[in-house]
Amino acid sequence: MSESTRRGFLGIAGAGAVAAGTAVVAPAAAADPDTKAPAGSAKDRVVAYVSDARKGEVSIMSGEREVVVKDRALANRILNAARR
Amino acid sequence: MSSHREAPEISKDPVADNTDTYAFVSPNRPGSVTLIANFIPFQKPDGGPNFFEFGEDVLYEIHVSNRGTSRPDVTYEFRFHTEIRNNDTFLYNTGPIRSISDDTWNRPQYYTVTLKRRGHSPQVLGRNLPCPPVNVGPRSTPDYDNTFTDAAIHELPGDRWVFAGQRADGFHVDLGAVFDLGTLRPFTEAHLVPSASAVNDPVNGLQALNVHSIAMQVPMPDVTRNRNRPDDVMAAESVIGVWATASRRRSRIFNSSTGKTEGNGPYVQVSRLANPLFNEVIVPMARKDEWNADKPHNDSYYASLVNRPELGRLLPFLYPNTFENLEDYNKPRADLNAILLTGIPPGVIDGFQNYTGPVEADMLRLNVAIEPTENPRRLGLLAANPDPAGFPNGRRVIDDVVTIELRAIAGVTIPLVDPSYEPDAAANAVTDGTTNTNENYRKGFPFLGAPAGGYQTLPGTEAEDS
Repeated sequence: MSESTRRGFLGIAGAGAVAAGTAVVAPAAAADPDTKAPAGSAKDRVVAYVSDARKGEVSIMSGEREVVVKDRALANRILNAARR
Repeated sequence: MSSHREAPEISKDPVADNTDTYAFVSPNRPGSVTLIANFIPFQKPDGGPNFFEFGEDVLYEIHVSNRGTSRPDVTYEFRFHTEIRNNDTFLYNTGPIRSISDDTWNRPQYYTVTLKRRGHSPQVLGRNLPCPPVNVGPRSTPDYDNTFTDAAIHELPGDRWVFAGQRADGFHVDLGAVFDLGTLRPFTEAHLVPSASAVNDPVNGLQALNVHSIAMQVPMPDVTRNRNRPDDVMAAESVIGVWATASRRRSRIFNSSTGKTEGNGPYVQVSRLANPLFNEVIVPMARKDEWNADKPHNDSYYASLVNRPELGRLLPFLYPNTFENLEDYNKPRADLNAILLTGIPPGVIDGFQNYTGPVEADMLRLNVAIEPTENPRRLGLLAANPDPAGFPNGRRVIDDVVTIELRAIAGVTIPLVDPSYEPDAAANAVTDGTTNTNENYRKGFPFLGAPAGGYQTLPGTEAEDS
């Protein structure tokens, strides 16, 4: 993966993580790429990785926290972004 | 050894590598316990200009379990940060460092100590506590021990004391010999493989090398189950379990614009250490990394390795006709299981126990009701005149843990649980032959000797033709 692509991946992953947090509360919002981060979203750098693509498990890390969400749509978006 | 570079993964991450853990009733203050966790192995003292220091991105912890669960009830947490005073020089120091706060030290390091007690909010015990510089040499760090050791001992609220900085490695073992097919130089003639170039005088492989040490001295009520100073040796609440860990952020990303690694996510354990040599010689290479990341309360998973230790089979093989009784002993090693995984229950040794219950876990088990010995014996409980204040009752800096564990594995402790067994004559004599050849241990806190100096470092052993 080239450096520019890797940065792009992380940027997308970070944006996806915010969407994932929303997905837990309002699943419909996760599918909308234009959804703005609501108040209370992570302000720090966010890292996300797809820990189990088959189950749609995405591990999201921000600060000293880690949450694992099950969101197949989010996992697929990240996987697709990684292939760009 | 005792846990220096003991696993493949952590050997590539020395800043987070536990080397030794100690726990003992403080001889200078018997109502207190001293807990020491060492990290960063094999420090060659002249390794500048970027000398050794604690990792800013590593969470160092000393854990105490006091309810028999082998889970932490009390944890002391240490986080470090460094500063650069002068951005325009490559020098570690721009002149003699004459005090711990001297501006000539260009890269001072500080730390925060936090107490985490089960069921309570974390309590910060101290912030911005200065570490001492490393021992660079007589021009840079003159009169090192007198200038820096006491200055780096900090009093914390609650009659607690802390030190964090470079010390001489107090552990000793003949590394070159034991890793050359288990050679014990005093017994080299009995080894399976002859060696024409045998050097029979023991060599301390940690000679002139330093470590970074974190030492806490805390009142007994800080760590005991009933928050008191126990006086009944046979009471379960007199025993604490101790281990140390290092943790790193789960995610680390290299930032090319700063040239530094940035962490994200929670701290996850990458190294742990309690009983010396557990991961080193009990756990096979293929499982050492997972053991380092695992928790002590899961150690039943590794119990079969203790009950039938590989080293117990190797000794008779490498030293033929020397350990014949050991070779014939086929029962699970209940003695080693007790020493390393549960503590020695009441009834095995008259007037002694350090049992923490049936949960198998690698912890140092310290019975704090046993008073410190005035003239400690380095073979602890295995001494001819047993010293119950020493290993495996906790571990003191003077304990010769290599010899103690070698003899235990060689079968000396089997009669504790199986009186029908007669140890081989060699089992009571086996040793690697080393003693501490680094700076003398201190009589008081932080107990390990002053670090060896860079300027004073001498070249290593000359190469031999063979």
